[in-house]
Amino acid sequence: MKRAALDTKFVLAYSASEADTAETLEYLKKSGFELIITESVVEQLAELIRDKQNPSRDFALYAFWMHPSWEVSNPANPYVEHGTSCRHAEKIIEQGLVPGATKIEAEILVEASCHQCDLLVTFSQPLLKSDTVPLNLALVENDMNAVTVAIASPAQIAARLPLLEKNNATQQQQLSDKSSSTVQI
Amino acid sequence: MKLKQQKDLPDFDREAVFAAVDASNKRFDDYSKEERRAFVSEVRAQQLGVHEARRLRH
Repeated sequence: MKRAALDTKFVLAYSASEADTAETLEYLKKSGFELIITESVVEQLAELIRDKQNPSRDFALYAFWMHPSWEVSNPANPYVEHGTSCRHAEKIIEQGLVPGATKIEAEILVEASCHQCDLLVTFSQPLLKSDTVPLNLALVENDMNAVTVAIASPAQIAARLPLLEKNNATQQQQLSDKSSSTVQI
Repeated sequence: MKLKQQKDLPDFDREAVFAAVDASNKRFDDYSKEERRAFVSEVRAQQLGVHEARRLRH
């Protein structure tokens, strides 16, 4: 099954039904993606919840407790649990592959790769602006069971939804036409 | 469109919320893995916010 990882800002924005986020999840579900959040996202939501004055707190606690009801899981992964993904994220930062990114932004990408995700949905500008070829080469050139990951913004994915629906409608129509012509025979 | 279960959440100030995450991103440079796991354990053990989350749902 195809997998997509969601970053912290995305789940906070989805909690508030921000523009493009519901469409993004609808597109991913209709396209057969299994949706996950990685351990770093869970840890960050927990950190945001601890500060009652933080403007993101209500959205963080909502996402922390409610993401299973959105059919978003938080699977375990040995490379994440043992800290291997964290060390690899530090290497990616050291190599300058994601200019301007913090360690946790790189970590979420590496974790998504370890979880065999095809896609990372993110609002992170450093990740969205990065040169994905050297970044993906760095992801796969290690001893972890990692894969290349496409990095996309919610707006980029949401823009695909009407095209997917149009394509599905065309396929349905073709099936219907085929079915009625078979009946005529 | 607001989803039904989100009606009691405050207005989403994207600039403020995303700035809060950016600040958190920087703090995470200094946290150890143990500290990070402790945040999750604390929230889960004390069920911090779970009642609020349920209230927001209804």
